[in-house]
Amino acid sequence: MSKKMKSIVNWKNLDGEFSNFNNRKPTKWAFIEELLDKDFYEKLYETYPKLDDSWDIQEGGQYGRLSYRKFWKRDEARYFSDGSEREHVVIQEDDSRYSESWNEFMKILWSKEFVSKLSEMTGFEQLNLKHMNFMYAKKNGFQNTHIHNASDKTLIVFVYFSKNWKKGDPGGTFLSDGIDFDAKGEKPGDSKIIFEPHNLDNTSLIVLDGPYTAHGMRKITKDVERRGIQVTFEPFNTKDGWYSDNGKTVLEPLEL
Amino acid sequence: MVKMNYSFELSCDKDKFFHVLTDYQNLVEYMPRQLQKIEILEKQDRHTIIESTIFLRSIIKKQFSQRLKIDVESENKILLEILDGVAKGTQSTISIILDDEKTVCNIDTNVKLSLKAAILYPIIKKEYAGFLTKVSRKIMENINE
Repeated sequence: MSKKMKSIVNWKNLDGEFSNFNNRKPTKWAFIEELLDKDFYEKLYETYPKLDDSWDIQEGGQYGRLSYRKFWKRDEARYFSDGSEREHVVIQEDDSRYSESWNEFMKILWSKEFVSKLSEMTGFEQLNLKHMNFMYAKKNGFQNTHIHNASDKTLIVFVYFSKNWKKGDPGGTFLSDGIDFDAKGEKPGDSKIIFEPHNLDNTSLIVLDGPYTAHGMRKITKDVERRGIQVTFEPFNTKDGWYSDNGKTVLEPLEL
Repeated sequence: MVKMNYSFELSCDKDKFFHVLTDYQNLVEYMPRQLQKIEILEKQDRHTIIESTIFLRSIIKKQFSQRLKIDVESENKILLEILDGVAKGTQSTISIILDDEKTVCNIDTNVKLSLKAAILYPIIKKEYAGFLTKVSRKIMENINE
């Protein structure tokens, strides 16, 4: 590990959450405070992409939500040969739309060292970075409780870049014990929140996907910016492809 | 050949809906951006031949065009047939009927693909209803505005 990489991530803080991650059931999760070195975090904070027309608005959809996303360089979505839709996969290269610091941070996220650390934490071999997007929400933003269940080895890493977050304020990704929790607070439900980040300033929530991983974002009621990224890791090898693709082959565009 | 059906209840004026469907050149407004252009090649009374230019980057490498024959059989029924290209021989019937006091639009299609493009059957099957839902909603929303 290079000296720089060693100093950018607070590996100790990450290591300290290994046992919490593995002992939590049925959803495995960990919350890491001060994930990044303060100076480096400041650079990412200062150059976090501004909300503009280049962001995709996420409105309605399968689960119901109002938020914004902007993606790292990624491949064509395409289809699998059984006709099912395939999601874009990140291209592990520099993206000139973003600052030097963000490009440096991405290199860390897909680095052998960082991925090995996640493998050590989860016990999953051959982890690799699959998706990355900036996620932004403001007043009235929300995301209804939902479960991806892409696979039992898909790891979702949220990193937050919002300062002065007031404890108890909605906006962090909550985990709940079921999908019957109304993120907008308009309807009663049987499910309750098991965790919601109280600090969104240089923190990270790491969650293992699966059939019980219900999560969402309560409706933001204040005039604030919830800034973060969502990164997904999954086992990958050139023979079988991505773990959650279940061996499906990607349909290459036809030459007619 | 694969048969596909899609039905939905019309939530707008039937005649206006029918008018949008038969205003071929302006149909592009309601279609996904992959349908780039519609050109009328021939028009005789209720019989029209159009050429549509399509770019489905994720499944076909290059932009392609295909001719479609459209027959407006009545005020409630339109017959379509693709005349060339990989889907030559594909036929569709759009009919509007009154069903239990509801006005329902049925879109029945027999999809025919060339051997080279047969691999696309599962995609078309999965996307058929979703595509038509989006387009029909857009038309109805526009009419009701």
